[in-house]
Amino acid sequence: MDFTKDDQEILGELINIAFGSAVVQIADLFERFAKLHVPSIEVATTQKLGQYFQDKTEEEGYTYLTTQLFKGNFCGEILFFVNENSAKNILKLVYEASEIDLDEVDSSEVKESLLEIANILGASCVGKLSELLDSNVTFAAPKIDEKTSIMSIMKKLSESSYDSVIFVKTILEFEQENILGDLFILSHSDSIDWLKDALNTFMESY
Amino acid sequence: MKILVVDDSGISRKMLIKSIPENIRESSEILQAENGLEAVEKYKLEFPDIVFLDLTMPIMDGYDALKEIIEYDAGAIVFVISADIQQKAKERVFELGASGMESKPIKPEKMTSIFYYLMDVISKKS
Repeated sequence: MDFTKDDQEILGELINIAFGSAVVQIADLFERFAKLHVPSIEVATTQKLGQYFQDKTEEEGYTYLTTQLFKGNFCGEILFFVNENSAKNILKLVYEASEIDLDEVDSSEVKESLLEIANILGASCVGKLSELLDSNVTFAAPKIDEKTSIMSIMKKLSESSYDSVIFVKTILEFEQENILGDLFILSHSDSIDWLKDALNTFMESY
Repeated sequence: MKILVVDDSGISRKMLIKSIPENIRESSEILQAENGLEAVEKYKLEFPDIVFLDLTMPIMDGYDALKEIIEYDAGAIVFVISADIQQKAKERVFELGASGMESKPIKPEKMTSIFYYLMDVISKKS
């Protein structure tokens, strides 16, 4: 994948801006102030994503993964991966509770809350990125996998035609609850080529 | 005129500098800093006329840098340019003494209007 350091830096800055607009929506939703952190961005192959998931699920075990397809000049699928602790913190925000026991919350409510956050984060982030690049995307409804296993993720990746992934690692820091969420934008090489051209065109406007 | 551009992203600093109207850019000394701490240090050394400041940065963020700059020079003109466009973020930077705030990315036409505004602020100050 021919993604230069400059391409990656421009993409990083645009995702930083896009992520900022996503965080504003979440902060407004919960009427909280969120401290923004600079997301760490990396463009890599899907093989690297497989290794990442293997390491993560070995470290953290119980996890949730949401997925959402998007279409446009830039197309692919957004994955949002949260661990149990961050899932609890999302629920605390949703229910304005100081403590949450995930086993006592109806699983459909857990899923609904996580889907809502994933939808806002993913769609705002990719939507704003596309807008900054003078394009637009449409989104399918997000889906969620509970207690995601490494086997199911590896199977999904191997069955898909995606070959590239943009890693967006970040922290959503609220006053009391931090949400450590890793967002992945899966795509195909032709879509990544479009993205590279669009990034160059964006910089040419300066 | 001395202008200090503060952002941890090199591309972002480049974009911001390129968006400054050409006549001002060519007649000014443009200084750069990669984080809040470096910005405070450069401010104390160089006394820039205008500071463009990002909020989300490592080592020292823009809020702390803004606070320190205003504590050092109450008349400092610091314009915040950030991806953080939360209402509370805006309220906080104005409470800390920022002269203005705009969301990223800054296009040249937006920067031209920012400079009209800043020139007015500078003339009122002097």
